[in-house]
Amino acid sequence: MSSLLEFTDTKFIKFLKSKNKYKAIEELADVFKGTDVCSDIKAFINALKEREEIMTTGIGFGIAVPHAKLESVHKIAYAIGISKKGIDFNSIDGKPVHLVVLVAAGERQHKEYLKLLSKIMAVLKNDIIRNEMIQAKSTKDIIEILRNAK
Amino acid sequence: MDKTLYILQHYYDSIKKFFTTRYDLKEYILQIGISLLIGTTAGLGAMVFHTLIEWMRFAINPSRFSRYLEIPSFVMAIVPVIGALMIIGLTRLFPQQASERGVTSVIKSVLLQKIPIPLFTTLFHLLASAVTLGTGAPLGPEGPSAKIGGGLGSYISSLFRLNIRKMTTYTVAGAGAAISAIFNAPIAGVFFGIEVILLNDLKNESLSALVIASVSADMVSKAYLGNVALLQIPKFQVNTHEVLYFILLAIVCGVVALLFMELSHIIKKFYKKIREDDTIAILLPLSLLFAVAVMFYTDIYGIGYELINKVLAKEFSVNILVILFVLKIIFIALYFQTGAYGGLFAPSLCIGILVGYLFASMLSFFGATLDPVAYALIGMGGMLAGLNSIPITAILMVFELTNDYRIILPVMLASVIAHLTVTYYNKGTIYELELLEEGIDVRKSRINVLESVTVHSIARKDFQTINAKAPLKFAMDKLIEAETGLIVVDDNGGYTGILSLNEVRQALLSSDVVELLICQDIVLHVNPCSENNSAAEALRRMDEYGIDFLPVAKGNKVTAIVLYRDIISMYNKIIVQIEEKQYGHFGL
Repeated sequence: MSSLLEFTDTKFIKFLKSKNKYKAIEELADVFKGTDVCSDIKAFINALKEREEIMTTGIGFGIAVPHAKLESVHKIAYAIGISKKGIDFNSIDGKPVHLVVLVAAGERQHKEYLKLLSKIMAVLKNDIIRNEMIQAKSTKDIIEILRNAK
Repeated sequence: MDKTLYILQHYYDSIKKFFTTRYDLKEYILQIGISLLIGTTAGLGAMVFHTLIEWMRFAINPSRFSRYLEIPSFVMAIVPVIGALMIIGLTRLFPQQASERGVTSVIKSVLLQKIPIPLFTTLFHLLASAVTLGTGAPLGPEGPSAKIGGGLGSYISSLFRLNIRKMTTYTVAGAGAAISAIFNAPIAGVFFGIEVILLNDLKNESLSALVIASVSADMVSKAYLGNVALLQIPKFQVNTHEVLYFILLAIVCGVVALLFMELSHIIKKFYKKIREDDTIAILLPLSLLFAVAVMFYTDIYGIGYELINKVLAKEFSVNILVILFVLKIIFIALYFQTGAYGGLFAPSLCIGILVGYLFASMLSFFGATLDPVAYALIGMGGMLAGLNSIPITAILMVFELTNDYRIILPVMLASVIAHLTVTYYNKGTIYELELLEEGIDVRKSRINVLESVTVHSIARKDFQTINAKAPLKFAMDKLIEAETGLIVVDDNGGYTGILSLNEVRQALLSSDVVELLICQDIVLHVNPCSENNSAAEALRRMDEYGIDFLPVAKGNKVTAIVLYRDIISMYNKIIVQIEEKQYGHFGL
């Protein structure tokens, strides 16, 4: 896996309006609608919500990484949602989430899925990159930040 | 005088030299002796089997009781139900012996060298099959006979401590001998061994043993039963200029055989759907249904020889024949797929007779003057060959059953064309396809030794489970303790998938990812195997998922796991055993 940019697109980056975590998930997952990533968005959203109910993906530092592996996902990809106001994700540190990274993978894309999650976590652990992304004004800025991220 | 003594001395020396220098002579004599012994024993076994069936048929025959004791036929139609209860009971009592049934199990024993067949298994099949056929099931005695004869052959050869190749030879000889005795057809018995049990592979030098055993078994049969023909064939006329009709009938036989196979396949799938591992339980409701049908059409009761004789004696109208044909086909398929103890040879003879007779009768409506008896006999050969993929055995069996040379030419045509029709469509014989369903592809001449090992024999009961909702960090300690991985279950303990150490290695590289994940996120939804699957099948599934262990499940509960390394270890063990058996220290 050479770059995080391989698995996202400007179309998959969105400034979120929702304040509720489930609504935010729905809003962000919708970016895959009409793309070759997922053929059943409804099932994908349900899977993300069910997963969220079991244990929060809000891992602190203003980040949440909702994720699901599903038969209807044909291409591994991720979407990025930015919320300036913050969303209550029941995060482990109790703080609101400003950056939502939503990961979609196919049922059999086990290893690629774990590699992508590792890579995302490694990038988001960096305070500077994380803050730059939260402060970004446009989708192009996000892409630029990811391009420069090592 | 001296000259005479000299000549005598010369002859004595020559004879002595002949016996002492030909090392293999002892072996030849012993082979003939063992073949005779196996033929005689298989013949006796077949006669005991025959007597048991006849005794039961005589003792509890519905028509006999209703005739002499004035018991209404509907009361006696319950006999198949009693039989079904007995068969289910026997199967439940001896599940291991019951699991290996029919001709296919003998082929498997020979192919996979799972020999000797235990004597108890042979005796079990003798009894269970006698009950099945004696209580009116519409199946034939050849599958059980082959099982009994093959079992006796393998048991006797094991008493002589023969090597595995010789034991295989005598297992085939025993199976052929029993067929020879039960049908009073020695040549057909030989070719049954070649075409069915050896799947036309005569590489293992079985022919002489097969011939000797089949002839001696037939002599036992003739001594016991007398030279009574199985079928009463009335006079018939064969006109060689009707060759086009012969060919047409052959194609009809092939098509009917294919339709029967398709029906059987549908029934099998249906049975599996309602009772996955216990299709024999279906025998009870089936026997009730059969009993109802017997009340209206008594002639569908039993193996079918009496029906054949009645058809040949022209006792039925065409309308009745059509009904009997439909009922016979349906009930044969329904019974056969439950796993009831019986074969398809005799039923194919019966279906063939009906097809041939109806063929001639129906063409007569269009002005053709065909002898229905002759066509019934030709249909018998065509159906036997088509349904069982045994063209040569079919030709010889019809010849031996009719003892009439005139029938040979049309039966040859019918058998070969019907056989070709079926194999062209199915891309294999019925036995090859049955073996293929069990994961044994004999068409490629490649038998994997692991096909003979069941998952049950190498499965481990010590495995660890984890709830799918558990955070991955809680599963880490368990994962490290477990040798290969964990079984992931839902809140009710139902199987969800596996967590393989190999698979989560990537996650372990990042502690942040471990914090993020629950077991459900990285579970591998692997299709588990059952205890009855072969080790080869388990290996194929592990390769498919790239894992080194596989859950063994019953329903949605995991009962054990099977490890990749255990299968490889078993493979090495079997290879060593086979080499020891084939070329090892067991004399002969």
